[in-house]
Amino acid sequence: MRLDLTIELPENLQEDQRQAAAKAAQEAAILTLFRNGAISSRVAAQVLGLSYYAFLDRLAELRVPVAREPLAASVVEAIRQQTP
Amino acid sequence: MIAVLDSNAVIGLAKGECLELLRGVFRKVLIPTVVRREVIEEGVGRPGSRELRAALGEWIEERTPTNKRINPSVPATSPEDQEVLRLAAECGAVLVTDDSALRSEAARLEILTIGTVEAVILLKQKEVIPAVKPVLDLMQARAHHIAPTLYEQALLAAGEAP
Repeated sequence: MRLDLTIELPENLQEDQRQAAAKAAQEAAILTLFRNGAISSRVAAQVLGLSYYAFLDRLAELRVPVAREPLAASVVEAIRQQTP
Repeated sequence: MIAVLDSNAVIGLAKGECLELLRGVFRKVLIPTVVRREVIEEGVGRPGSRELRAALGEWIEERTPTNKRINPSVPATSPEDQEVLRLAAECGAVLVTDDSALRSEAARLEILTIGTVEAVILLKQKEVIPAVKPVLDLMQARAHHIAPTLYEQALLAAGEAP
């Protein structure tokens, strides 16, 4: 699946600045899907061309929580009861 | 009870210096091949790599799932994600991962799932560690960030809320 975006930018931008903006837009889109749980960290890393560790590093740089699901207290209790 | 660890769980718990403590909670701890590759082979010198290498064959076992491919309801999981899920499903194991997409898919497949924060709470409940806060703080200091709401829920559940 593709997402094609057209973003109006100021005229006369240098090409490296235009490419930096495109890269940032792609990263923002992928991170939004990742934060929403729509794609896994592995899928996000692959789309962004990063290794697993590099993707975790990028999350850390942006202070995106790795652990963010609500506490599964009932599951913890179920496991506690089933472990010696 | 058996636990299957995802890569982020190995890395996060190693950052909290409590990976090895899981052996005091679970009867068996497994990883699929993809986790070994991501953490040990691709993560040389990174947190979790040394710890997993030391544990593998000692108290963590690498296992390849034999189940047929699961048809994911979450389309955006990778073949590697599917390997993690298949192993947990095949072994009737608890899956330890912080990945929301995997947790969602695991729930659909009726796989019990916890994240690194719940694993730390479990360690306290089993009296393996005296408190969760120092471990969670260490994990965060080493860039395994925890959502503020989850952090507060964890302290509350552990009886350590300020």
